[in-house]
Amino acid sequence: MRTALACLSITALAAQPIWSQEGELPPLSRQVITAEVLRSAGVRRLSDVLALIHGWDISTITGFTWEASPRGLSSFGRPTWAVMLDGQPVDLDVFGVRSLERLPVTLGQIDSVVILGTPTVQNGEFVEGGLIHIHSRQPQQGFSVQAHLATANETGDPGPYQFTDLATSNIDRIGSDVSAQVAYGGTRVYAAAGALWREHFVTDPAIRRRNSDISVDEHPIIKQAAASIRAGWEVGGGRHELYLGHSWTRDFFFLKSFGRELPVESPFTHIGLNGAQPLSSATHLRYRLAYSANELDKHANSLDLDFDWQLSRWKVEIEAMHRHGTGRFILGAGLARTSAKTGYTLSDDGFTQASLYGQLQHQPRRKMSQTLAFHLMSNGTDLRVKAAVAQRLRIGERHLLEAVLSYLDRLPEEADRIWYWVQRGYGFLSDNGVDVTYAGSLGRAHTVTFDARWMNRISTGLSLRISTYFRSLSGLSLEDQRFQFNALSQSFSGPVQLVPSRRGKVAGAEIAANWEALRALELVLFYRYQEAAGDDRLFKRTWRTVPRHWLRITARHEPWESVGLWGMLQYRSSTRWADYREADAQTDGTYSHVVDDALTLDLAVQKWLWDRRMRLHLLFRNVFDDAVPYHPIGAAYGLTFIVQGEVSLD
Amino acid sequence: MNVQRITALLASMACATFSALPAAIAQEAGAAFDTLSIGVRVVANVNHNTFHRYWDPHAGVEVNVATPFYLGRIEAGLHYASFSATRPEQPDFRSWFPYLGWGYDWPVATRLSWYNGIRVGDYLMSYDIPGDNKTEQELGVSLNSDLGFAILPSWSLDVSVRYRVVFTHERLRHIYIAAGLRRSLRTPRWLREFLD
Repeated sequence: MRTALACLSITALAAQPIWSQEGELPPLSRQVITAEVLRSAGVRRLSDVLALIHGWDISTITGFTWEASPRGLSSFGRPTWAVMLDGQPVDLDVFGVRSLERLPVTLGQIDSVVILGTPTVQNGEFVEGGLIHIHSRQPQQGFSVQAHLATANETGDPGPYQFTDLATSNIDRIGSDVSAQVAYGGTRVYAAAGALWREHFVTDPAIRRRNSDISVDEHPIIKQAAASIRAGWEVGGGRHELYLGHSWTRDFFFLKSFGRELPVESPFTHIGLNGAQPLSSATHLRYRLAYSANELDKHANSLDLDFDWQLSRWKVEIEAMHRHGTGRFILGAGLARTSAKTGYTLSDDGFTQASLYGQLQHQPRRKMSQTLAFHLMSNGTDLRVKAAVAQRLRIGERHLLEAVLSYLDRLPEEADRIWYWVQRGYGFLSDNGVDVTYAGSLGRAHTVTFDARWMNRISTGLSLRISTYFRSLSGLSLEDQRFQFNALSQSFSGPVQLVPSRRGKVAGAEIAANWEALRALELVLFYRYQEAAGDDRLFKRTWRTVPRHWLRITARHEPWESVGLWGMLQYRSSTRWADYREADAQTDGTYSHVVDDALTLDLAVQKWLWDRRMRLHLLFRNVFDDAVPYHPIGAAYGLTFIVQGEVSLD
Repeated sequence: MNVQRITALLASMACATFSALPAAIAQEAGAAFDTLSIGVRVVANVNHNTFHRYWDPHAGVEVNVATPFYLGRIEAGLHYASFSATRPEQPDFRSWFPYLGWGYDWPVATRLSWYNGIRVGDYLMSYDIPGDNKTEQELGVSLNSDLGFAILPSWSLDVSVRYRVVFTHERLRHIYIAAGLRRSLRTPRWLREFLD
């Protein structure tokens, strides 16, 4: 039953080995990161997963919240990738900032993370910018307990030299993470409850200076507490799963248009119920009910700033899946209501969206499959269309080909950016001196994407994948902002002009080689080149914040059953952040608008103890100790060591 | 990004991926965690650099436990040392270095073995000052070369030389010599099963 429950998602993404000669041909852009890999790589927080995804660029300011740019589908700051937890789409966005950490999931709860890098329909959502789908571990029979502890420390403290003329500023621990979960598995029912506590010391000197005048806390620390309950049961042949999750984060929320971090308290709640009921041997009915609430509440600060913001969403979806011969058809409909709650007077405090979606999979032969997915959404006045068609072909035993074409247009409210609400009266920016001008109204964004991939199994353990992609984006509303440095507050400010109808093209190519040799030795080489094109200077400027070249070599080796070694070498080329060009000059390069290219090496060793009930993990991040940031005003971490311990009792 | 870094990178990657032998070889050794070696040593800092303009080192002590691994030997230990300030502006401080290590034993002669390894640990410093910020910690990495001479079947004397770097902003670079006594015994079954 539990296996069946794990397959509640529309397509069983993780189930099909890519070279299997049986069953459906899976997407070649799919990347499955198993719990085993997460542990080997020293993942301690969900956002660490972003750093393991091939072809996704990442950026951070505080080191706690990470932004991602997936394969040219969206730049930083405009997240179009989706997050799902056990088949339930999760809304984590606050004003376009998507922090995976807010999702109340502990490392021990994760069975695998499945990544999709091309647009498609998944669980009632059109995932236009890719997908991060977290699959929870199903509880073992009976009771089980799991606990995890991690602590990290960046090198570079002054040590005893703090009492000499060689003194430098102190660098605290990066933080400590503690989590635990208990689970029960029965024959027709299971339940799991987890909780976590995290601390993240904001130690970067620049961030400390920026927040010294606004934070009233003795030390700028991001703190988080979260808890979740998940329960599944089988009744009358149907399968149902309930998820309740809540997290509370005392964060330093960076709002780009405001130019600095603000101390906030940011609760997040997600309640989801989904299930499947067979109507016949070929037809299943599925449903999803979800409620989520994202808040930005006030945390004591010297400027008395308060976002005073809550965005809640209700969503109901029902769909039918029917198998017939060589085909599978999914047809679903949904209704969603988004409501904002704030002390500011809004002209319109919410919107309702109705959707109709479907997917047709046709596999006339074992070696060929076609998928057509569509998603229609209406807000009552406008209709939005998204569609994707994929063709997959197996040639002989060694070659796989894939082509994916998609078209989508997006309503302004879908982007969940602050501008939609500013136009409806949300006055936080104007009340606090941010001058915003609109060069037009927010319009519909259109995107056309094309992906082509060829995968070749050179030998049993060696495979090669070559991919190209092309995206044509239009109707974008981009922010044109030039930050000025304020020496008094050590922060940045500048008028924002929102420029609509921007357009441009992004194209890229990837090559990936995967080599599995000896026993439990896996080497992955990945290289990507990406370029933005077109006449639109603002568009190109936005994309210069994403590296053109990106190289990664990952090695994972288990020489003995209880010992694991892991290493990752990465190179990313330099990026340019034109928004900070003036601030760069004003600070004599302290905040350079050019983020240099970076070569980093992470090394880890892991030892299992007590018949794999206990695990010790030691990770050295950035062994070369070149502290290169991801963002002009972001934290730059030098050599950092992270120690983790885990106990699992089944 | 210079040649040294690239060399270090290649060496590190090779180390991370290929340093360990395949399982078949390890199975042949068959002695992982079979014995425990418990040692006590006196440790003295012998080099002189910028650090020593401010502090004079005193002899320290180390306790250490080692056991055969699937390849080579792993060890865990604690090294304590204290330092006296040479000027009144700086405080005295004490240090503890709990560490984990790995290395390889080469039998040089019947009763003589030569061990070379690396240790990684947390260098804890406690300053003799009033107030809250009395302690600090930092990553320390040490290279260790140890010559052991078996005086009795279960007892041996050893002398070693270490080079340790503590990754403070201004690195603490110390060279130590150590001498001590080591006792070997069979690992209790419960502990062997726990470690394996």
